[in-house]
Amino acid sequence: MSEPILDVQNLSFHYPDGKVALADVSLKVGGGETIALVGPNGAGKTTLFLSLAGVLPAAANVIRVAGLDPGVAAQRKKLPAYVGILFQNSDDQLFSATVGDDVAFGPLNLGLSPSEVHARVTEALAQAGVPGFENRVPHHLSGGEKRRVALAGLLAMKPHLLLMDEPTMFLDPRGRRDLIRWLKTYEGTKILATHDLDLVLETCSRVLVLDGGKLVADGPANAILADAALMDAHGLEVPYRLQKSTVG
Amino acid sequence: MTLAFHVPGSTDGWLRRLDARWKIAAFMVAIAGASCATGLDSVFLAAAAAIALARCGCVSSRRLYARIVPIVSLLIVFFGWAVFRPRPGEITSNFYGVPLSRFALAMLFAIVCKTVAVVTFILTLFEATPLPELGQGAAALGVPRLFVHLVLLTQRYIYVLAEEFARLRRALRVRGYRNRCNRRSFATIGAVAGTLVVRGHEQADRVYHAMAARGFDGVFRSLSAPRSALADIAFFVTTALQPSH
Repeated sequence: MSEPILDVQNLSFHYPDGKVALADVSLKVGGGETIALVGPNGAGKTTLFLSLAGVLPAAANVIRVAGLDPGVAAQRKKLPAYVGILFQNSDDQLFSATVGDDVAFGPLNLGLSPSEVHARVTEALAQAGVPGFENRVPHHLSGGEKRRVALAGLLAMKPHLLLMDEPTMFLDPRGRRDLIRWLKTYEGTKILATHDLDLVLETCSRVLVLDGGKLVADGPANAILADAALMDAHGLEVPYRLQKSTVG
Repeated sequence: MTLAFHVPGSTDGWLRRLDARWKIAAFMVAIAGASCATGLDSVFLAAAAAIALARCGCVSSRRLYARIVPIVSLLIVFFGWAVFRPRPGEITSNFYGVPLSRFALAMLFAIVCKTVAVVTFILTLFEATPLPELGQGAAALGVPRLFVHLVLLTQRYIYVLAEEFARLRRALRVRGYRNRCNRRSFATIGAVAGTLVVRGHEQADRVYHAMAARGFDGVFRSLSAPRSALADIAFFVTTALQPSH
C-alpha cells in the first residue's frame, strides 16, 4: 500500500439514543486506491463517512485524513478541502437555487478568488459530464443529472479523498455505465459505500465489510465477494458474475 | 418524477439584466407611490403604468392576467356590495332603476386600480429577477442575510417537499384512499402532514451535513457581485416616478 491518505484507529460512535453506530473500526487507505464499503442497511456506512469528513464528532488521534485530524477543531475546518462526500440522495446536496451556485458553494467556502471559483465550476461540470449547466435550476434536473451536478460540487473542491454513498442510486443503466467509466478514469482515492456489488467488481480492488458498526472483513474484492459464507453471514450476496464462475 | 413548476425569475429580457438592488428600490418606491395615490386618475395611471412595465419587461400576459383577474374578482365580491347600498342623502347614479353609490364606486375603482398596480409591480419584480439575485439585492439593501438565506433554502426545498407530498398522495391513492369528510380522512391527512414534517426535518439534517462537508461556516458566499450602470439609475428614476403623476 502507498502512503496512507486515511488512517483510522479504533473509531467508535454512539448516537444520542445509545445505539452503537461504529465500534472499534480501524483501517488504512493508500493514496489512489478505490475501495468498496459494503454491508447491510444500518451497518454504519454513512456514519463512518460522516465521521471521516468531520461532520460527526470524533475523538482526537483516532482519524487522520491527509494528515489532518477531524478530532481537532482547527484541523477539522480544513478537512472540506481534502475530503468530499457524495450523499445518497442528491437533493440533500443540491441546496442552492442554481447549479452554478451549488458547485461554487464549496470553493467559495475555501476562500478562493472569484476567477478561480469560476474556472473550477466550469471544469468540474465538464468533468462530471454536465458542461454548461451553470444556470440550470436543481429541481428541474433528472435524477442522473442531479447526481452528476452533486459530483461536480465535490470535484470543484479538488478533494484528495472522495467518499461516495450509494453512487449508483437513482441512475439509469446508461448513467450507471457513465459513472463506472468515470470511476475508472478518476485517479484520486475513492471509497464507495454501495449495495451494487457488480459495480464493486468493476471498479474496486479492495472491499471492506461493515456490519453492526464493526469492520468484519477487509481484503481483495474478488476474494471477499466470492466468499459465500461471509457474504451470507452479513446479509449480502455473492454477485451473479462470481456465482457463475464458481459453478462453471 | 420531476414536477414542471414555473420558476419565477426565468423571464428573459432587458428588465432581467438590470441590477437587482436598483430594481428592488425602484419597485418599492413605485409600490409605495401607488398605495398612497389618492386621485382616481393617479391610481388609474399607476395601474396602467404597472401593466405597461410588465408587458415591456416581457412578463407573459397570460401569467399576469391569470393572477390579476382572480384578485380583482375577489375584490369586487368583497367590496362591490357597497355600491348598491348608498347612504341616505348620498349622490347616486341610476343603473336601470337601481341607485348606485358614486362614492362606493369611486372607492372600488381606486382599490382595484391600486391592487392591480401593487400586484403587477411585485409580479414583474419576481418574474424579471431570479430569486438568488433578488435575495442578494435585498441583503445589499439591508434585509437580514439570515432571512434571505432562509427564503432561498425554502424556495429550493419547497419543490422537494412537493414531490415528497406527491409520492405520499400516490401511495394513498393506490391503496384505495379517497378524501371524504369523515374521521378517518382527517386522521389520514394528519398522518401525512406529520410524515411530511418529519421527513422535512430529516432532510434538513442531511442538508446541513452536506453543507458542513463542503466547508460551510455560517456565512453564505456568492460569486455574482452586483454592479450599477447608468441604465439601472435611469430605470429607477423612471419607475419610481410613475405612480406620482
